[in-house]
Amino acid sequence: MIAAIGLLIGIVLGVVLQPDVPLWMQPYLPIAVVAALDAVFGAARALLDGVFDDRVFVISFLSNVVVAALLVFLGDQLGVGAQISTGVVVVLAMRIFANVAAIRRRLLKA
Amino acid sequence: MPTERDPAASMALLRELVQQDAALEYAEAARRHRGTPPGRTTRTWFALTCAVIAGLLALSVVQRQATAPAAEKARQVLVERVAQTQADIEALETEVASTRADLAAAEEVLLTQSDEGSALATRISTLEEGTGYSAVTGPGLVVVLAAAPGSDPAVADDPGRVLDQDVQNAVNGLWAVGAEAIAVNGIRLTATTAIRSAGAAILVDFRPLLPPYRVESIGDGAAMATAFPLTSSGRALKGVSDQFGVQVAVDEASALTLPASSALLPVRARVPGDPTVTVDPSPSAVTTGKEGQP
Repeated sequence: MIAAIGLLIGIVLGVVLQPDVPLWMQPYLPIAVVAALDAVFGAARALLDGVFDDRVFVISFLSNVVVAALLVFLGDQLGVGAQISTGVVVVLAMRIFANVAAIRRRLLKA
Repeated sequence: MPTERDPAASMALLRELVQQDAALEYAEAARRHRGTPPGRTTRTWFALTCAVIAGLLALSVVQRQATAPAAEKARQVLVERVAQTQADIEALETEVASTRADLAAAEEVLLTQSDEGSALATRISTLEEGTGYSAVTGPGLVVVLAAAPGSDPAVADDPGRVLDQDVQNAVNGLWAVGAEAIAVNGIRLTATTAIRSAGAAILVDFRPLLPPYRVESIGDGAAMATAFPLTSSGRALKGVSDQFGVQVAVDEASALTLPASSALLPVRARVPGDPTVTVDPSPSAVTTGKEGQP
């Protein structure tokens, strides 16, 4: 229930306000989105396993976003921003794949 | 010390990457505080995180939709600006023409008041015709250059294309056989008009032309038609025609009207009676870069 309210508020805020993403934040937005997707699929899997925990969800999401952003920032400073972004996206995508595979196994028994 | 080592230990990184997924984190947390309901702060944070995630997703979707047509928009803006500038140019050219007509009328009024003036008027009109300052009509010769049949005008190295050299040859040949005035596709040539190419386009007076290229000249059509093929330019055109199939048509015309040059600018203007005051147009307006110092 509280999750649904939060989602609704977030979507409404994102669509209605359409805040201009500042230029320095542009490279971090896609990373943050992929980290968010990772957190969501991880949470869905945990929910199906019956071990979902709000605290873990919040902390894993925040830490993923912060670490990914820091990595990309560091890469930008070192001149390998694009490569680090790719690495971060690859790692998060692999996690998403693993989680989706687990969800699929549980739901479809295959 | 481990006695047996996984031969693929170096690959453990990849395996860990895949296995170190969220399930482990959740399982560990579940072991630690099983059964304790989440506190109020946690629930608030949870809702906040949901909102942030949803906001991020919505924002990225909105951003994509906003930026995807941006390239198309930019192109549209450029096209509009080109059209606008062309309209401005046309308006300015119309203004130039009407101002020139006013000027000519005023000159005529002044000059017809005396014998000296009318002699001057005759001289002015002769000079104006020769320099492209005024429109001229009369019989003459028309040379039409068209690309060889089957050639692609968009391909820059198609041998059947008409090149700027070919247009230059036609123009030079016509001047050589006594043309009094020449216009290419309606653009009057003056002493400083450039004929050159930019990519696949031929520019006359820095304006791109569309083929076929119609070089109109005023003069004794019959005599020019006889003499033109004998000039070196005429022979060069014949060679291009024979070798590459470029179509060259030379025709007499009984009545041609060549417009005044719209780009004619005073390269150097001097105020009468004051030799020290000179007026130079801005460098960008000068049609050739070869003017000496006054």
